[in-house]
Amino acid sequence: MKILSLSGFVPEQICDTIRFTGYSAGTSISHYCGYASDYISQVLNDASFDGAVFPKSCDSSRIIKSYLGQTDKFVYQLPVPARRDEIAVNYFAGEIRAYKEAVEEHYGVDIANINIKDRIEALNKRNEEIRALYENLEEKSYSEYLRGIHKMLATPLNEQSIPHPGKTNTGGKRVYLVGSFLTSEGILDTLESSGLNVVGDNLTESGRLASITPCKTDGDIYKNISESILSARLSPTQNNFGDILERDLKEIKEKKVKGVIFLTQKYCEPYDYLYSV
Amino acid sequence: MYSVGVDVGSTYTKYCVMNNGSIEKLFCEKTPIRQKEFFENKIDELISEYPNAEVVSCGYGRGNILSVKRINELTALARGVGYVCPKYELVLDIGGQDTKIIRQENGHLKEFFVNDKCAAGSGIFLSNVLNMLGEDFDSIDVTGAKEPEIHLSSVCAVFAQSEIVEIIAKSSPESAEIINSVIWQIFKKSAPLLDKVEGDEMLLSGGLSQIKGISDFAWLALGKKVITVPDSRFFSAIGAAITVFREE
Amino acid sequence: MAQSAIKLQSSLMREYYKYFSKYAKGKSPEKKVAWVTAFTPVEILEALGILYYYPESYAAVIAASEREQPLLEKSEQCFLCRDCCSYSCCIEGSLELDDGPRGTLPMPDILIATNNQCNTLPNWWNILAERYGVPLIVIDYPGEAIPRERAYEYVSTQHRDLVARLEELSGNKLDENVLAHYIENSQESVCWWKKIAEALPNKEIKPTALFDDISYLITARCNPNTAELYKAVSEEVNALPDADKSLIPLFWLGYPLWYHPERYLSECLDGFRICGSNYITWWSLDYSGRDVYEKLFSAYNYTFLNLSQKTRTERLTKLIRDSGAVCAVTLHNKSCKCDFVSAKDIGIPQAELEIDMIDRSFLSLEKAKKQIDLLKETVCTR
Repeated sequence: MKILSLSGFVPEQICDTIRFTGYSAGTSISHYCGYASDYISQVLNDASFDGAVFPKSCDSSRIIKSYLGQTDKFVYQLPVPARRDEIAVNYFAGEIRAYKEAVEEHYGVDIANINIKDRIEALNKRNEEIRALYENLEEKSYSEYLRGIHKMLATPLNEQSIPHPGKTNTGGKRVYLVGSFLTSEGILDTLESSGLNVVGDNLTESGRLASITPCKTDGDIYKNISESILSARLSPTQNNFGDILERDLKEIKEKKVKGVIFLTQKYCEPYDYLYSV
Repeated sequence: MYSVGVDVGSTYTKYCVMNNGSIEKLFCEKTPIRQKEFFENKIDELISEYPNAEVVSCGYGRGNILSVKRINELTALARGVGYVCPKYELVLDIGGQDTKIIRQENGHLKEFFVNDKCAAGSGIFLSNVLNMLGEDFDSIDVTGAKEPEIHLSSVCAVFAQSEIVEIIAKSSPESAEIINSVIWQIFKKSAPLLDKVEGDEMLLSGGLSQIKGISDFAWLALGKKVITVPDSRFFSAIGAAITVFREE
Repeated sequence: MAQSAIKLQSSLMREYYKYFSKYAKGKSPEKKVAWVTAFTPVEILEALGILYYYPESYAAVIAASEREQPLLEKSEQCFLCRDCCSYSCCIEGSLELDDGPRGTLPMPDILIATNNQCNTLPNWWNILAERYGVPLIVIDYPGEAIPRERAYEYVSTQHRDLVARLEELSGNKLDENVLAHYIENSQESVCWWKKIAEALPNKEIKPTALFDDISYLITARCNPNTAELYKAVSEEVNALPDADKSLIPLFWLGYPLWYHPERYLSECLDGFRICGSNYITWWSLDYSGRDVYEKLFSAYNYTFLNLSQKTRTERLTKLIRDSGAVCAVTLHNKSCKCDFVSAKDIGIPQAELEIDMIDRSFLSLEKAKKQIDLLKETVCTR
């Protein structure tokens, strides 16, 4: 079982997935963001993967299933709520359970609650360590940190190791990054070679990952997982720009940031609209 | 009875002379800039060499040939493929300014998709890079070539050329490596068109089809079987010429 | 057109535009105002006495008035990328400049967005929420992504939540009988509209009329005058001569061109007749169900653009087959992704054109003409 996942909404608590971090041999499908387009290419062309799970959270991810219709691989579109409230939490909990059942059915496995609880604990520990790293970002090499996170997410949970980035030049201009998952790692080198010191971000795999609250293990575990995932700082696909701005601006002020670098790509509407605000 | 098909491309003009429906001659020359005057004289020459010949034109510059029948180049392409090698239904044509994929059945155009908004997916990209490198089209040979190590990240031909200048400055790769990466990029840009049609093998037409070893290289890039046949760049001219003898 | 249809149209338009700034003369609406996206369950708002307006529809009016370009430019100056949905760019420009052929929409007290059309509209509604500082409600419709039972539970919970919030806003209590009545009105409007749309393959109907007249189904489907209007129009349509079958029947796959006087590329379609369009079927919602919540769920969760690729292909193929079309013009506007995929595997030759429904500068008429000429040759030389 080797499932390629797109997005931090995919519950790692259920089973191992390999997070998509980029694929250069892709075919670009016009009108869709490169992220979704490259993901589709990797699912179709990379024989090492036998499954794909992705959200339905933006216009590009929404149509992924249309392009994966012909494959025999396990293809699962996770309906991520477009809102964040109690209704969404309950709904998402049901969908996480359904995802688990779909994995069991396709792969002929049994995912026992005890396994899920073990994974929850391991993830809580991992995320706590990521949080600690994130809170001291200004002293670390951002490029090593983020590359380390990408590497970590692309490995099974029990093989993941927390990045140990080296020190950075703390005298550089303090900047904050806004964007989605950063697949173009070359940008990290450009930032560092320009003498910029990234002290915070709201990237999917960094600032947002670090903000996830620990998942409880007692009671309804699917609701716990749902609450935990939806507790993270918001993606613009969750339709509360006010909340995003409030949190980002608060962090920018606290960290005495001098500049914001807004990373966006063509055909990525959520970030285009966020940028305009 | 003679017919002459004239395919006026952005870079080359291709001619096919038919005698009672059989190909008598195929030739090509560079498309001039002042076309109207040139073709007026050209048609006169052809008519005097082949008396009473009917001339049919196609291609982007067909409007510059006055007083002759004109057909669309994709219709001509379908007819030409139907005449030369009808068993190949899917045809990928990478022209000077655009890329097309068509399906033909018995010389009839059944389906078409065109990408004409991106120079990075057409012959002009290769042409510009060859000029930049001082290389000749006829010298290109991709026989046995693997996926290039140079991957152009720019989606735009203009930026890609700047990128190539930087690459040369940094690592001085061989011209062949750069040319291969450009051809690879052109095929990659045409890949979305392939998603619109059914079929696991296709015929390649257009200028690129003349490159030595291109069939296997294209197969590698596109993941689908790519066939080339001799004189495939004349398909549209042949299709234009055969029009005279077809009953519609 | 019969007087009664014209009177009904005028009445509907007068009612809708009453509080736009050009006509309101400073007077504020007496009821609360919501701005909604095109597939919002407006029957609930109607039942609670809340006025609702459609910014997307107004963008179409702006383009039809030939005023979209400066608004698009202004929107871009205000950092909204011009590659984004032209409806949003047009309206944002209009709001920045306080400009529009009918003035500007009345100020919203609440914003309601849905994702049963696309995910971009809720993003746009977020920037409206920032602009006006009013609450934003997003209704999440899972479509066919999950089984019906689970989808119904989620959607009806959200609908009930919407009711509660709108009751608080309006100070009114929802009477489900009243809601049922408005749903019936919508059903009636849909029923009569379908009769008109179904006549397109066989009657000499100008597509322009259909593209324009569907606006009442979008903005006023609960209004009994809409059904009356469509009933009157349906009678007129039945009396029209039969369509000229010597022309090539073509399916218009995509949005109408709002900036074009005829709403489609009539100047390029010599020899063709438009016998079908998917756009004119989008609001033929299916309100089936045992009670009001099930009816609203059926109608709004299963909008065409919210269906799976498989279902969309099946429906579109059937629509095309029933229309008798032998070819299609498929429009790709600047930003829409969902509809782009709808045109896969439709079984007839198509000319794909890059045209935007609002931004007239996006079109290369020469390229469009070339593609359509090619389509004609493909169809005619078989």
